[in-house]
Amino acid sequence: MTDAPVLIRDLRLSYPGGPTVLAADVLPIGSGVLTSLVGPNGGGKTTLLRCMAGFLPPTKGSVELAGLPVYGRGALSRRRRARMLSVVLTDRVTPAYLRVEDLVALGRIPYRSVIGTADAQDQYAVRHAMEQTGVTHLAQRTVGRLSDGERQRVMIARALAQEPQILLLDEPAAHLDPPHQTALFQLLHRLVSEGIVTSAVVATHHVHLALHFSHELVLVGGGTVRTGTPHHLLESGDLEHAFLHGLDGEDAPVLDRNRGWFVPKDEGGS
Amino acid sequence: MRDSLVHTSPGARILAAVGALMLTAVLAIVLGSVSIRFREILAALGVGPQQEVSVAAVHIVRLVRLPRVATAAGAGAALSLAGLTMQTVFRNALAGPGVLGVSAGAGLGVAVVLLTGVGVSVSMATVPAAMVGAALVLVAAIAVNRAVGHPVLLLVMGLLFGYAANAVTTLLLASAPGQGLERYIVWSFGSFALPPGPGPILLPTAAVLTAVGLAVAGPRVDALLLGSHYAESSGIHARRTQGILIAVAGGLTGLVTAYTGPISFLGVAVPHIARGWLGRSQHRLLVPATAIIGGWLAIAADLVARLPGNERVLPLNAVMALVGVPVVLFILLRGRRSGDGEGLGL
Repeated sequence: MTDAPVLIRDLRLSYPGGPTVLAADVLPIGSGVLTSLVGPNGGGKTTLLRCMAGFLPPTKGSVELAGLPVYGRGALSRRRRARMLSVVLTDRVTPAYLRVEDLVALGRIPYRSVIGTADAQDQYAVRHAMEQTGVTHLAQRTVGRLSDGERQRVMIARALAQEPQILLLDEPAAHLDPPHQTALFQLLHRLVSEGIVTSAVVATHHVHLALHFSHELVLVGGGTVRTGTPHHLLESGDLEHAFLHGLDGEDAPVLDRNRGWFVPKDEGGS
Repeated sequence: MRDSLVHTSPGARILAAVGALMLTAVLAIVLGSVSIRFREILAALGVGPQQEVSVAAVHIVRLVRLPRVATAAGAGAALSLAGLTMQTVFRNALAGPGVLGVSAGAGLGVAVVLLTGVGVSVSMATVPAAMVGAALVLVAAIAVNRAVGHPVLLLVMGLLFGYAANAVTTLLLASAPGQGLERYIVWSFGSFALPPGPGPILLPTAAVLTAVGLAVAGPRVDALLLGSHYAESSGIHARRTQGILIAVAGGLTGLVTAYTGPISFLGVAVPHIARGWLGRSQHRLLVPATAIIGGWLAIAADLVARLPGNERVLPLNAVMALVGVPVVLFILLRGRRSGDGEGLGL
């Protein structure tokens, strides 16, 4: 159990001075697994992801990467953590005149000495990451000239250049059109199944894609988390309940279990 | 335009800027209100036969023009580096050396000395006064950064510090005696003609040391381009790195302002010119380009301000802003249209 890529135990999360946002007794993220965090707005998906990434110390409990603590005594240094885990965030990234290959090369910072220049291994990792995400042809383009779909692939390439075991993504499909959303999840699924990353964790609103592509779901909402396979959580009704918590009126939509969409009650669902 | 960017390497472009800097520096030493023959200038600099050179020529070249060019180059480079650093830390195209209120603090220091009559009798009182003013603002800014660590909040604090310092300066101006008032206004015009002192050596030295340091740390500074979270996730201590950069940029700004007056606009404009010229944004390339272009433009602006045939020396401050505003506007608008630009995100 201790060799789980990410292991969360006895976790309590809150923002400074606020009440507990999220509690999780034990939450392992398995290896070889694409995990989706799904749940209602304000449920804590992003908060949980930020905590895993090392940005938000928990008020209680521990987060471990491959058995090593992210917070507290003996915690991983930023640099060692960066070699194990990388992120794709929702922060908008548009520095002027930053070319794609230079942006992807930023992923090599955890491997470079303070004064050194990029060595052959750095160059290989950058090239390889761009091939994996299909952005090699964009290498010389400046980031400002990319479409949303291209930019997201480039940001994933940057994260892969970090050669992480764990890839965390916050709403990676948010600004993409439907075919690009599907292509993005396809890419993530492939990265995990080909072993390019050990595991990927995606916070997403796209329930149908999460159901289709994830090996594991983590329902985040109502202050707690619940894990299971997409099939299990769908059939048990837990998925539907996590979203509809506190939305019990006559007008509340229901989950169409075949499509993974919420539909009006009178259209039945499954 | 795109093709030329692809075909000329950034290294060649930096060399071209060095060439422009050298050429302009030579022009600035050759041209002046007193016309001196080129051979005499060489002789005064210790090159070639020494017989024909007059004492006056040696004096003008060695004690007036050379220090002035060195001051301009150093001040221009330092302010531009400060501007680049602030733009990177705050991820804001409009950030510049004055963004923390450091130059306003320096102005207040000078105002206190000149307008309350404390230092009117001391010839160089403005330099330490401006340094103290700038240092106080900088210390406050760093304290805020340590306590809050949020760049945007720091930006707002800097703005407020600046307003407060300017308000007190205005109060002092309103109640000042005539002589101090005039000296303050002359200081606020900005000038590279320093009274004798360590300035002409100090400013270029500070600029070169900073440039080397920033270029070496370049890749780690690059990490900040994507914001604090991405920097942290690449193993960089974002807040500490930002704090160090703010201290360096603020220190440089205070130093330059103390010697040359409030001319910090140059520092907003030059990083944009450097990015546009290189078509890159890695600091290992941007830092040398910014320093060189900054030094070059400062010498050029000073040359314009004291154009031969001109009875009066124009206020340096005004010359820089009048030249700089259209340049920045052009670069920002062009970048916005082509998708290469800042993506101002306003």
